Amino acid sequence: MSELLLIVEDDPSLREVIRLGLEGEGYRVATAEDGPAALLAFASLQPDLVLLDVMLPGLDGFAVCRELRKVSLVPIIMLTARTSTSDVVEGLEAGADDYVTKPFEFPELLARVRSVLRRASVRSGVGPGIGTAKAGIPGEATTLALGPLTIDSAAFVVRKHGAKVPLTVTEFRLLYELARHAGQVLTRDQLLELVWGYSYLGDSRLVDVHIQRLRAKIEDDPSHPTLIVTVRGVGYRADRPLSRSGQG
Amino acid sequence: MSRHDHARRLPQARRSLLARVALIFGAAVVVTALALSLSAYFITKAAQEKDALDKALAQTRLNLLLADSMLPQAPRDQDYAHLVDAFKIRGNFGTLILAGGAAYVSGPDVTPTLITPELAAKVGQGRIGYQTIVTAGKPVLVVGGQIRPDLTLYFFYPQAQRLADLARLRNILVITAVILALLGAFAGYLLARGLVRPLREASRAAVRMSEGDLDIRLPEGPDEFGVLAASFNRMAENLQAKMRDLEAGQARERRFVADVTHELRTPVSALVGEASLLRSKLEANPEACPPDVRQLVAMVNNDIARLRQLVDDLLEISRLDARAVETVLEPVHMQSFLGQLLQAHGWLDQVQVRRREQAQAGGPVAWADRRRLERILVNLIDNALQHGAPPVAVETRYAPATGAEALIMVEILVTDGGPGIPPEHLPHIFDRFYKADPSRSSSRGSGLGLAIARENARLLGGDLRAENIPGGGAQFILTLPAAS
Repeated sequence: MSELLLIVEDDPSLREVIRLGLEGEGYRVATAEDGPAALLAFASLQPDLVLLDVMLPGLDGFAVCRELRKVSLVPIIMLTARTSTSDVVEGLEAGADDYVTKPFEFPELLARVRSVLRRASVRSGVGPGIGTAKAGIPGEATTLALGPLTIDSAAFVVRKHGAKVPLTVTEFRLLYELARHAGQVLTRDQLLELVWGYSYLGDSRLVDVHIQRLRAKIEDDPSHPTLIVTVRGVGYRADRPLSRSGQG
Repeated sequence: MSRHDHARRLPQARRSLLARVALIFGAAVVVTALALSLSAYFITKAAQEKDALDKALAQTRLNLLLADSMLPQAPRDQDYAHLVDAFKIRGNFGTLILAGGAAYVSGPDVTPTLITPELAAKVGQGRIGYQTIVTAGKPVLVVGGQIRPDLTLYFFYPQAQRLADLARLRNILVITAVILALLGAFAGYLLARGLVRPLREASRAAVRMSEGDLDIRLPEGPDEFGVLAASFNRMAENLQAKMRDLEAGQARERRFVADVTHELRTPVSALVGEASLLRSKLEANPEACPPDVRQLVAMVNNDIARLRQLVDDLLEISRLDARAVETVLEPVHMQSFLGQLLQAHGWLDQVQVRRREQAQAGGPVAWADRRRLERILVNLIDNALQHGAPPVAVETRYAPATGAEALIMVEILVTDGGPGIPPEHLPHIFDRFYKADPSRSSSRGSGLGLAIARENARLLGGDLRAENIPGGGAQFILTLPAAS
């Protein structure tokens, strides 16, 4: 069964063209034209992905995104105004996985949708897995350890001291890539390519905001991170604290 | 530049004015003091001389009377000696008595040889004669008279003390004149400074106003400067009011453009989505449609792309105008950045990358926002490829140190091998909607590209300018702050 996508967009023309396009690609599509309708539709349909416009009448896209994040780890792509940094950062901080700036050509949107769904498909056991298709190293261990964390890429589960940590697909993928390259610095561009599938000049804010969100979930003290450290001017590196290396 | 010259010239003029007034004041005081001193000195000197002479003559007359009455008819030697002794206690003068061939003196400093023939001749006529002589380096007033034939008396009145007093007076006068001159110069300086201060304030205010500070005002007062200040302040207020009107008008205009653009964006977004979907469907299934419809779809896509570009550019320039643009500044290694950029836009075989031989191995590092920088460079390269001719080249280097500026800048030069920009267009190519060639109005681009590029460059703390290379071809020079 194909994935169900929820489109939240107030402009009827744009909503309709996205629906047409995505249905044409074989996805199932539901639509909502404002925030409350989107929350209702989400609750009843449990879609696999939400495309969320920022400029919605009444409850705006950021608020809808925050509401969704309270109850779900569903992948969310924000449709934002062009190049507005505050919109982008606010959307990402509200919990969006990625964003597309309006106006966008349909293939551009499709690429982002596919990239996010690919991340998610591993989790649900459908489609190519991280360790096989994307990372491309057959026979690689499916369980990684990082300090107190165990990262099970087969089951798509992260545990800290044995307790499950709820991560979105993007956070999981980010942690997985850093842990897989533990001890090695990954630049923002590398992470953009590995996690988001951007091959050129993606938005480094995607990386920074997601690192923050990830730290908030896995670090003991997110303001003094020990598991994922910032390498100034270069990127990020996953460290295995020696004292905890045997745990998990 | 002229503003700098101006600011530098003003203090100099002030200094020279100050110096001139102080000098004139000092000179006036010196002349006055000299005139007063000289007249005081000469009047005193003349009076003193007359007084000394009168006293000497009176004393001499008295002495002659005394001598005549004291000496017997036929004086002997001891009578003369006695008389000399008697005069010794009468006052501070020397005595010389010439009686016949003999001379009687009161001391070694008095000798008959001191009497000049003129004086002797005068006295020989039975009158009282006087003369000032110098003996042993000291001035002495000699007064003589004959009381009997062959009996002549001379009295020597020393003048050294009197002249010393005069010299002291002269010294006092000179010192006083010098002090007065200095005081005069100082007073002149103070006065001039007082006069110049309002001028200096006015010129400072004018300079600040020319730099854009319209809030500046001068203290008004009842004097001439107060009147000047009032005029200045009135001018400043008028100017400020005009500027406010102008700015309000511009702000309204900009808001209108921003609003219109914003309203356009929603239908344009839908159009872009629809047209691109239509195109993808056609590309996926070309036989489903007759060729003329396919051509129409391509045209619609092109025109929508132009419309989108225009709306995007208008939106961006509205944001830049409203300063509603945020930047993420980070070190950008120009060499690798350019490589990625050219690759991403498929320009690798159309554009050369050159780098000046410099110490830095990876090429210059700019401190910039990557996406803004990409926007600028894509615009410049696209512009060179469209309007210029091959070879199109991009060169990066650190700007030649100017010395005056502490900031190190990175320069990115985009050059083409075309005919260059006609000189009459060169000053306008960064103007909004300026089209160098009106017949090309239907060509790609919104007419805002270079204007946006320059605004973006300035937003990043740099600048963008254009020039023609002497050998032909246009050159766009983007300067950006270097990463420290």
